[in-house]
Amino acid sequence: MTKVRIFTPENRLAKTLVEAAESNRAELLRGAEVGLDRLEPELLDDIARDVRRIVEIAARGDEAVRASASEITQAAIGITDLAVGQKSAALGAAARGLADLMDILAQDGAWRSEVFILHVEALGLIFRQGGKISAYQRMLDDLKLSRDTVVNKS
Amino acid sequence: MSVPQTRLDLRRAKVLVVDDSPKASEILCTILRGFQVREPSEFTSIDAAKQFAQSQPVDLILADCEMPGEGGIEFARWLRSDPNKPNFSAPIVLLSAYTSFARAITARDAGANMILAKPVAPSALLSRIEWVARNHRPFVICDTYCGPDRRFKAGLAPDGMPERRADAIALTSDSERALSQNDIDSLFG
Repeated sequence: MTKVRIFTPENRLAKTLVEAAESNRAELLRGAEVGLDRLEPELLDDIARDVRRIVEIAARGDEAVRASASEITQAAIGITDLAVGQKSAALGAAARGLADLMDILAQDGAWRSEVFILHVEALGLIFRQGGKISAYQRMLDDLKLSRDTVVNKS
Repeated sequence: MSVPQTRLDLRRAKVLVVDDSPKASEILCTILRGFQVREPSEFTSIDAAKQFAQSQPVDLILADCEMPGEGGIEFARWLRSDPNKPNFSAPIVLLSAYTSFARAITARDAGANMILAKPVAPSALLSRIEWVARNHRPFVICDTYCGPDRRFKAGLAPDGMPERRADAIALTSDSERALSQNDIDSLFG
């Protein structure tokens, strides 16, 4: 019979909670955002490089895309890693969708060109136009639905 | 009468960050410094992080799942593999660009406390840190699992217990479906 031990370990992070009249959440978030604002211009350059690389490979057609699938995945993950600023949140969400799609396609061995193109076009559009994530919510939801069709058909 | 509240004072918190991408690591550390964490310990390889984690206890571990070779999931498994390790029960938040149900469950079964979808928004990370700090979750050690209590959300409830989360059953029906952060959170308690 399997022996199971259940206990409550010391929560070392709990020591960071101190009594106070009010929460300092806003102050901490502001501190993080100030730091990210300073980093963002440099991050946007790297994001631009990765977006351009994905669009460039996609333009070469299916065969090139399949041959460079792992490069596309890495570039999409790269964008996802860096798109933490307010200006790049929509781009990050689109890139995460593309990384998810590449993961699904890699696992299933199936290839759905039209869904891939849809994701790359959305990424390119968001990159060119910029704007807040709320402006693209419908598009991001539709991309997710298109990925679901790939999963459901495989 | 005002209710006493608590605030986070992360100045003394020891946080370990593992991400192979120096830029992604810099972003995480920038966010943490914004949260007033004084000196996050930063590593770009699991091997280096293991050496560090073996030598001193930390209060929180943030690790990327997508690293060449071993990633955050393997690191979590390693940390949970030996009760004598100083960080055996340390809170682990994994970060991932992939959020399929299968990935979330693998992370949970490796003993992670949370998985956070990338890109990491400061507000999302702060919420998870607060959640972990306020949550005294039991820890389970058995032959097949070591980590925070997973309870029974993704499976059948024990006899006589009502199913607490029917949506978890819907989630399990499609293992490749990308999950929202809310879906992921529901799997981790």
